[in-house]
Parts: sequence; structure tokens; C-alpha cells
Amino acid sequence: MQLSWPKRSPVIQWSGALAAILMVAFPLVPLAYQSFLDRPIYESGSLLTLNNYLNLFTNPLFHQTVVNSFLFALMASSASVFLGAVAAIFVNRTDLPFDRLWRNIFLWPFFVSTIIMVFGYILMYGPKGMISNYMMQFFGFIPWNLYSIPGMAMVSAIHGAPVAFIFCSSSVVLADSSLEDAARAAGAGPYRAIGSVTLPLLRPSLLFAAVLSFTGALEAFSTPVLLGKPVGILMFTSFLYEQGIQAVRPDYGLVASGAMVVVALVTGMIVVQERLLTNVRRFVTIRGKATAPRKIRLGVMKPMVVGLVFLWLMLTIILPLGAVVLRSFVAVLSPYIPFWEMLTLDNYENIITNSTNYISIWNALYIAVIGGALSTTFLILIALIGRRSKFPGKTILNFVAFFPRAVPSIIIGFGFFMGFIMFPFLGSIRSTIWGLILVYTVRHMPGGFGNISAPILRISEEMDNAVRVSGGDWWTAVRLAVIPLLKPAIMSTFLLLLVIFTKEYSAALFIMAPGSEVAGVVMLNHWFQGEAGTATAMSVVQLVLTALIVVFASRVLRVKIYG
Amino acid sequence: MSQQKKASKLIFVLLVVAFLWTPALAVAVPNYYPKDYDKIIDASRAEKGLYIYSNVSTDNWKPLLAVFNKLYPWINVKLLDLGGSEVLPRYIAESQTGTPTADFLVTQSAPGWARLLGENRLLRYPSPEIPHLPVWASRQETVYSFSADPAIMAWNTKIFPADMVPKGMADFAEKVQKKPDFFRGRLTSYNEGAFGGYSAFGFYKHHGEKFWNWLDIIGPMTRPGSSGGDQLEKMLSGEYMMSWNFSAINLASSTAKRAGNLIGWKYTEDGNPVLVRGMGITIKAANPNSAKLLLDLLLSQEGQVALSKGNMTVYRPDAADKIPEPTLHLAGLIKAIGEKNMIVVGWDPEYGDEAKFKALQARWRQAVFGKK
Amino acid sequence: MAKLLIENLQKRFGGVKAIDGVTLTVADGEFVTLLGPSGCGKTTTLNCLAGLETPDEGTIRVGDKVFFDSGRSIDLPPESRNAGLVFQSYALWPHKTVGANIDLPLRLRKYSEKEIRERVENVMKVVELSGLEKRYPHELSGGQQQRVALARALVYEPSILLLDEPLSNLDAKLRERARFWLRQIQKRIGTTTIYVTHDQLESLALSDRIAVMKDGKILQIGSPTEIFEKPSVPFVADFMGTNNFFEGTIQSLEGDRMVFRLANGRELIVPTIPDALPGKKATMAIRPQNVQLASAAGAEAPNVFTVKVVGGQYLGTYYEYIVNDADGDFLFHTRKEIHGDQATVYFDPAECSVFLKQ
Repeated sequence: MQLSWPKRSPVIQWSGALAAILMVAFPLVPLAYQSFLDRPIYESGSLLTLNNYLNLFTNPLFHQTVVNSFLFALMASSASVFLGAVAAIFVNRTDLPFDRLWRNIFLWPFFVSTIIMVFGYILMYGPKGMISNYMMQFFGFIPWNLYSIPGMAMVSAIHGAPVAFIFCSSSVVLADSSLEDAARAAGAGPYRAIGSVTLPLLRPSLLFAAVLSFTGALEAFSTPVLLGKPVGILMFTSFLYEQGIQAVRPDYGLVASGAMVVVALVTGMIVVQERLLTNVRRFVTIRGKATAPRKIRLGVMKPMVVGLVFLWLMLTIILPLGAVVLRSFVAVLSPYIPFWEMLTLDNYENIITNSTNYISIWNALYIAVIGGALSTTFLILIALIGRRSKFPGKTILNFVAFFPRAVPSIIIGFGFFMGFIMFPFLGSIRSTIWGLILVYTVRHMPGGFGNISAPILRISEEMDNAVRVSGGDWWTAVRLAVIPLLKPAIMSTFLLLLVIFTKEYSAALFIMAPGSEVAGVVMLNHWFQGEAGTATAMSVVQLVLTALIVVFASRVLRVKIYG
Repeated sequence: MSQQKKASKLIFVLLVVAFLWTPALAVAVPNYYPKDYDKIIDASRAEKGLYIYSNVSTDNWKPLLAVFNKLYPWINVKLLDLGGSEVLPRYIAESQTGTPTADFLVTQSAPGWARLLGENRLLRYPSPEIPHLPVWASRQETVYSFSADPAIMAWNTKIFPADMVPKGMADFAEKVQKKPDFFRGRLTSYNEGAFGGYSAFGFYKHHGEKFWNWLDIIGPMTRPGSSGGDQLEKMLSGEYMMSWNFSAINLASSTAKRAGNLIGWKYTEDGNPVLVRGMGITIKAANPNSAKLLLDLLLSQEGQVALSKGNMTVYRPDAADKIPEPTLHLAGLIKAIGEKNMIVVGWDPEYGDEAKFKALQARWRQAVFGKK
Repeated sequence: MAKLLIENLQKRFGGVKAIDGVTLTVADGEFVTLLGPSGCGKTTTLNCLAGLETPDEGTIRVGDKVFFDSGRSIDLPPESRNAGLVFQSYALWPHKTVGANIDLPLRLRKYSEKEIRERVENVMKVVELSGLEKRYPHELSGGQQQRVALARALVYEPSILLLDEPLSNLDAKLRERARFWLRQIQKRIGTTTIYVTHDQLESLALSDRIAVMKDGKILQIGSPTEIFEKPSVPFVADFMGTNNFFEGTIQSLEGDRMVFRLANGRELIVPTIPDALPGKKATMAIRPQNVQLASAAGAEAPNVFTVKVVGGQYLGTYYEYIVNDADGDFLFHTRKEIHGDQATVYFDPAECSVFLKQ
């Protein structure tokens, strides 16, 4: 009788796990090392020192940065959780008409790169934005300031609200509607019932969503760079960008120590988050009920609520994105010239005739599709090793796979930059698109790993054990029994990574090379150069491509993101 | 095999050989180039293309690279568009470790170039074009001037009245002092980072302490911007009325052209800074010969004309009458305000002095933001 | 077909001993059941046999093949053990047809197409599912799924068959039928079989021998009748069916009988047990169905006494009464209905089991 070669499975497990560990260590070890060196990592004769940290902590700019970042993250996360929770309640628990339409529009920002949203907000709500101009005409003043911490927090909140919405929705749907009914029976109106029963029951989920978006806000890049930097409000990411990329003589020691401090802070937040998560899970499972909850009737308020919802989505999502589209079709957007006199296709012609533009869009798409697929494949492999094997280093692997959560994109990019400098023989990967795929994979390892882990754990271990006893080794078992059953989860992970990779660009700032530019960076440069037309035209192309992919995946392939 | 077939085969081989040789023979370089210039051309054929890091966008490069590709079709040019201060540190970091890096650098950063020269990180190459260029076109036959962009005044004609347009900085300070509320928050300029800092350096060298007196008046009314394009957008939208430190190349952008009369501009009559953008071949260049060919083309008459088509302001005297846009050649400026009022911010070692520049930036911030 | 030897098997999960020194020898072709409540270590033992869990210590041998030997660091992976395992949930691969489920072990063993066809056909006949090869598992009834799972475990003629509560997901009627059927098949093919269950009826009906487990240890091993009739410890007596327990002291020994004095002073005649000495504390057990109404006993029979009837219920084939003696309540079953609130009962000494206190 012949059995499979017994050595194969350990080889796969060891190589998968080692690859993951090396990939995560590659950027982080040189980064940590650099933070203790008195000169750039590539220069010889360097000495170990704590001066970088001393310089950092005595740098008044960094003090401001810390204060700004926390203020911003606090505002952004509370606002996004508020929006997400309110939307989740109205969409899931009331008889609001057209709820699916509102839900879909509300979720749009999840699929749209932040940089595009920010463009839209500047065009609409900037000091001379279109809506700002109307405010000026009718009221003589503009009651908001986009280039401020609250302004940035608002943009960030609207962009982050979909995730809070998804998280709250699952709790809202699970919430026992009989509690609400009891409140109604006791004489409370529908709004009172929501306010005094539904909302308090959501509290643990809200808290968790808040911590989630808090860390998200600390890592944000587009908003601080486009809205904060021009008026001198620095945040962690823009501080590192300014010190590491824009300085005449970048102080890599300072950047590295700053990066380490951010990583430490975010790790702290994640520990808190994890504590909360275990509590939330307990909370949710106790009340887990599969019945569809009853919907609250809005009654006479219905038209008003519909009107408000429509107005809100119009002002916060549809109009800003519309402004991006409009800007892409005009040469100049000025209140002194009617825009229809300025209509042009030049911006789009610019994409076709300028190789950097179209190559960067192509690269972003290529990284999203091919890189997303490769990354999904790799993450499935390590999730199977970490979650579904007797591999001795499992615990370490699981820890490592989740670690990059604490590392904002720009820092991962900087770490890889340092890593490639330390190991020059890998330089040839760096200057290609494969280098970017590697960086993106490491950055988004936790997301993909988490997304695939839960479904893996849901499949009974008896499925693969049955293969093992029947004579297959570990690899045969996961291949024949686990992977086929994971198909929906695999597709959803792929789509998730595809969307994230399309949006990602701050991880590429430090390491892209001629030919491997990605759309986000090129758009950012165009915007800084004042070429808003080209930047918005590229945004529109990217929006259309993303929309096509998402619609195709969800309608034709029936894939669910966040399944 | 028949005689005829042999003959046709021979002809074929000859044609192939001829075809392969033709480009080498056909490259038409100016007649004053050295006899052995062909050696550089031949050597470039064995190279693997040309890597450029620059702060010049691909759009601006396009007309020049079209000419370059026509001359040397075998050289595959790869461009990386980076921020102005990003170009040189990136090359230094990469060259230090042997990772693949750029052959050719273009950026505005006087101290950066000074550092590269001092640390011997650039390839010395005496271009055959040097005799045809102004003295400030090169330093130590290593760093060359890519373009020379004037920092001009520009405004939104709908909101900035013609009678308020200043003649020069002295007049400007006087006008602002008379009507501060009219100007408050509606003026813009480059910030002190690179372009703005160097034009201020130029103003200061030209006017001396008077410049700081003026800036103490103008500065508080000003909201500096990061790029010319950004200033232009905001002038068009009416957020700003006028920029007193605006790179002329933006006037040739498609946005400015479409805006037509909405944007007015003039040179600063009592002294107009001209910012030299540097270029050089890296000492670690993997493709030095290709880089030399590009450098020579950029300095040649043909190259300067092509570069101006990409909206860069060029300076080679004998190219002036071949360029229709007066703003895209320095001759326009000299004609308008005279050579004595042209402040070339270039290879004077003072500009490369980092400490001096930092002090100047601090003084600038003090004038504009009221704090260092 | 082979003999199974387990020696001093140990397995800890954290600080808990899941298997605590299990030693067991199973003869070739024998059907042995591991019986015990959940958490007793029976499934862990089965998983150790299959190779799905790695024991900390001990040896496992099947025929001349060493599955596991902690001393020699041998631990064959599951795929090299050639064991057949039927899971409690059946673990049929939902994305594969019945045929594909069954032929996979053969394909993994690289059998020829012809042989695969023959064997699958054969095993389908054995489990009486011929013709259902093209169906998917979810299109089958629970009983059919269970048989597919068995077919999958049998098709490659495993040296040992391991069954993990395979009947627990069937409804009561079906379970009874499946029991007969399973026993028949096992007898026909004669594979050494280890069967895990917590259902004492199942174990009695199926097994050649039963090993009762608790806290990772085998408490008693023996034939169904031995286990049922002569439990060696109160736990086994209790686990093998409802039992009445009485605490007391041994008074005196008289040949094969001894006098057992209950806490309330009543003296009962019970069988002698080894190591019995007057004064020793002991527990006596008697099943409700072995408690008889006194009319059935002879006039001077011992162990006859009158009790108070506390409650009763009619359960179809018999009545179940709760009665009270001075010492406390106990249960008994009778076919006759009791009228009035008193009854005279009789404990047949032969039906009484006595266990010394440890």
C-alpha cells in the first residue's frame, strides 16, 4: 500500500510560517534598529544611542503632533461611531423606505480611496468650495473650516462610518426586539424606544467600534496630509512624511523613533480593543437570536426622516464625489467663470498621453487584482497553518500575522525602505511592482488573516480529520476538505483585499520606483502641483474601475465583503 | 543554391547590417562636439536604459524626451516624479547600499547639490555645450542648470484691480501698508520650503535688509502655498487675490491657458529672482553614457527649445528667438526689466550654505507667521 | 485485522488528566466499547488511536505496527495508521458525492480505477446503499449518511475500526435498527472495533466487551453481562442503569452471605465480597426492577420489610414507585399496581451488589 510522501506537510508548514515571519520582521527589525542608531542605517561607524528618542520627545513639533493626533482620532472616532450607529438603527430597525438604497450609498466611502473623498470635500467645503461659496453668498460667512482638526475629523468620520455601521448592524439585528416592544407597550414612542432601549443595548459594540476607528484615525494619511499640513496641523503620519520624505536632509533616526512610538501607542490601543472584544463577544452571544427583529414604525415623521437622510447623504457623499467628477471635466473651476464654458476632456487625455498616469492606474489595478489574489492565496495558507494544523510554532505565527495591525501603512513602507537598504541584494524586487505587492501583503496581513480565520474555525475539524484517517496527509486534508468549503470566504477575502489594495498608497510612498508608481501617489503629487484636473480625472477612472469590480463581484459572483 | 539566391541573401545580410549601423551613423550632433563623441553614443547602446529622479512632472518632460527618443531610440528612459526635496536624499540612501538607483537627477535644492558636490557623489562631465551657455549654467563641470524659472507676480484680474498692481517689492510694501485690510489673508506666495525660500534668499541678496522690512509688512497678509499649481487654483477660485512669488512656468499650464484673461502677471521690476533647477549625473550611475547624452541634449539649442515646449523656462541665449512664448525664455525677462534686475539664484556657494538658509527661513517665518 | 494493545496511555490538557494510565488489550476481531459520561476520556482515547491527538505517554500497537510509543518517540501520523474512523457527525465532505466520499481513501492509496470501482460497489452493497453513489450527502437521510460514513471507513479494509458515537444523531427508532445492523456487519467483516458511547444500552447490545471509563481511567472491563450484573464499583452500577444505593456497615460473615446493617438499623442479607471484614463500611446497590413485592418471596425469606409509598407513576410496561423506609427514599418497579400507602418489599440477596468503601 502506498501513502503520500510524509515529509511534504511539515515542509509546507515551515516554509509558510517562516515566510510570514520573515515578511513581517523584514521591515520592522531594521526600523527598530535604526531608531537606536546615531546616523542613517546605511552609513558606517554608527553607534547605538537613545538620542533619537530624546530628540523626539524634546521636539515641540512632535508634542503638537501627539496632541493633534489624539484630538483628531477622538473626534473622528466618536463621530464615525455615532454616524454608524444611527445609520445602523435606522436602516435595520425602522420602516425607513428605500433602506437598501440608503445603506448602499452610506457604504460607498468604504470602497472609495480617502484621497478621493478628501478631493471632493475640498472642492465642496474648502474655503472656496462650491457649497462654501453659496454659504458666503447667502449668509456672508462660512460656518465651518475644513482645514482644521474638527474639519478633518468630519471627513475621516464619514469615511470611517461604514465600518462602524457594519459592526453595529450585526448587533442591531441581533438585539432582541421584544425589549423594544416592551418599551413601546409601556407607552414610549418609537424614538423614545430607540433612545432608551436599543441604543444602550448597543453600548459594548459602540465602544468596540470606537476603539477600532480610533486606531484607524491614528493611521490616516490622506486627511492629515491634504487638509492638515497646508495649515501647519501635523499628525503622526504627516509628521513622518514631512521628516522622512520632504526634508532636505531626512533624519532617519528621528523618523524611525517616531515610527516606533506610534507603533507602541497603536499596540496599546489594540490591547484595549482586544479586551473589549472578548467582552463584546460574550455580550452578543448571550442574546444571539436568529429571528428577524420587528421594525419600528416611524409614523408621521417618516417623510421628514427620509428627507433628512437624503439630504445628509447628498451633502456628505454624493455631492463631494459629484464635485470630483465635475472637476475632472473642466479645465478651471472658478466662481468667476461658468463651468460649462470650461468643459474639457483634456484631463482624461492627460491620463492617456502621460505614461506615468496610466501606468500608475494600471499598476494600482494590477496590484489589486493579481496582488490581491497572490496575497489571498498566501494568507489562506498561513491561516490554515495557524488555525488548522499541529504546527509547533502556531502561536508565534498567529501573533506575527496579526502584528502589522499596529503598524500604519506609511511606517510599513518606511520599514521596507530600511529593510531594502540593509539587504541590498533584494533591491531588484524593491523597484518592481512585486515589491509593492509584498509591502501591501504585509500591511494588510491581519485584515485578510482575520477575515479568513473565522470561516476556517467554523468548519468542523472532523472534515479534515476524516481525510487524515482515510490516508491523506495534512496538505491533502486541507486541500480536499477545507479549501473547497472555504470558497465563499476566500472570494470575500479576495474582494476585501482587492478593495483595500486599490485604496492603499501611503505604504508605497517610500519604496516606489520608476515604473511602479501607484495611482494614489501620482494623484497626490498632481494635487500638490495644482493639477487638480488630472488628479480628479484619475480619481474618476479609479472610482469607475472599483465600482465595476465590486458590482461584478457582488451581483454576478455573489461575493459578500465582510461576509 | 542558385547564384541569384546567393546574391539576394547577400543583399539581405547587407541590408540588415546597414539597418543596424544606420542609427549610429545617423545621430546628428552639433558640429562643435568632439570627434570622439560617437564613443559615448556607442557605449550607450550597451547600457540598460536611463533612470531619472526629478521633481519635474512627466508632462513637462514629454516634448524633450520625444526628441531624445528620436535621437537615441535604444535608450529606454524611466522617470520617477518625486517631491523637490525628496530627490537627493533618496539617491544618497540608495547609492550608499548598492540598491539600484538613479543615473540622472533633476531638482531645486541648492544645499542638496552643494552637499552632493562636497561629498563627491556626482560624476564630473565637461559638456561640449559649456561655451554656448551663460557662466551660471554650470558649477565645476558637474552640476548644471536644467531650467531657470522666474518668480513673478500673478493675480486674479476679476478681483485685483489694475491700479493696485505693484511695480516691484518696494512699491508693493508701500501699497500694502496703505491698505492692509484690502490685502489681509488674500495674498499668497510659495512657502519657505524650497522655491519660496530661495527666491527670498535672492531678494535678500539683491536688496539687503530692506527686504526684511518689506516682508514684515507683506508677510502677515500672506498665506503661503506649497506649489504653484495650488496657488493658481486658489487664485482662480478667488480664495487668493494675488501671488507675489509665483513660478512663471505655471502660466503656461493648460489651466492657466484656459483661464485666459482671468490671470494677470508681471515681472518684479526692482529685482526678479530666477531659480535655477539643478541637474547632474550620479557617480553610481549604471548608465553614465546615456546620462551624458541626455545632459548634452538638455543644454543644446534643440533641447532647450523642446524643454520650453514642456513649459520649463530655459536660458540658452541662442535659443531665445526659436521660442514663441516670451515667458519660457529668460530673454523675455531681461528685455522687460534689464539684466541688472535679474537675480539668479544658482550656484553661488552662499546659496548652498545650509546654516545660512535655515537662518533665512527662520527670519521668513518670523515675518509671515510672527513666529520662528 | 489485528490485535490492539494499549499500554499506560496518558494525556493531559493543561492541568487536567484526560487519559490517566489506560491499559487495554483488544483481541483480533473483537468489538470493545469505551463507555462513560462526557469528559471521561473515551473520545480522547479514540482520537489517540486514530492519531488525531498525541498522547503524552504510553504505547499503542495494532498487530505488529507500532502506532505510538513515547519511549521510542514513535508517533505515526493518522494517514499512516490505516485505521477507519466514523465520526459522531459523520464528517461527510458536503462538496463531494457519496461515491467520491467513499472512493477518496482508495484514491489516496493509489488503487487502480478498476479496483476502486469494485470496492466501492462492494462496500455500497454491504451498507445497503447501492445506487446512491451520485447523490450528495445533504440529499440523504440521517441513517443513510451514517452508513456512508461507515462505508468510507470500511472501504480500504482498515486494520482497526474506530466508531465515535456514530448512532447518537439518529432518532430513537432508527438507532435501535442501526444497532442490530452495525453488529451484523462487524461480525461479518470481523474487523477489530473500538466503539465509543455514553449510552449503556448501546454498549450492552453491541459489545463483546465493555470498558467503563471515568476521569481518564478504566474502572471496569468485562462482558456486557459482567458489567451489568457484577459492577465492581458503585459508579459502574449507577452508570449501567438506575440503581438504589444504601450506605451501611458489614456486621458479620456467614459463608457466601454476610449481614449488612443499614444506617437506620435494618439488617439485610447480601452476598459476600472479597476483603469483607466485620465493621467495614460499604455501599449496597439494588436495581429498581430487582426490588420485588414480598408476596413473591417465601415466608421466611430474609430482606422483607414494609415501606411507605410516597408516590408512583404508570410507565406502560410497569409501575414505578417511590417508597420511603426510615433511612430514605428508593425506587422500585413492579407490574402490579399497589393500592394503599404501604407495601411490603423483598430484596433478593442474589440481586444485591456490595462495594467496600475505599
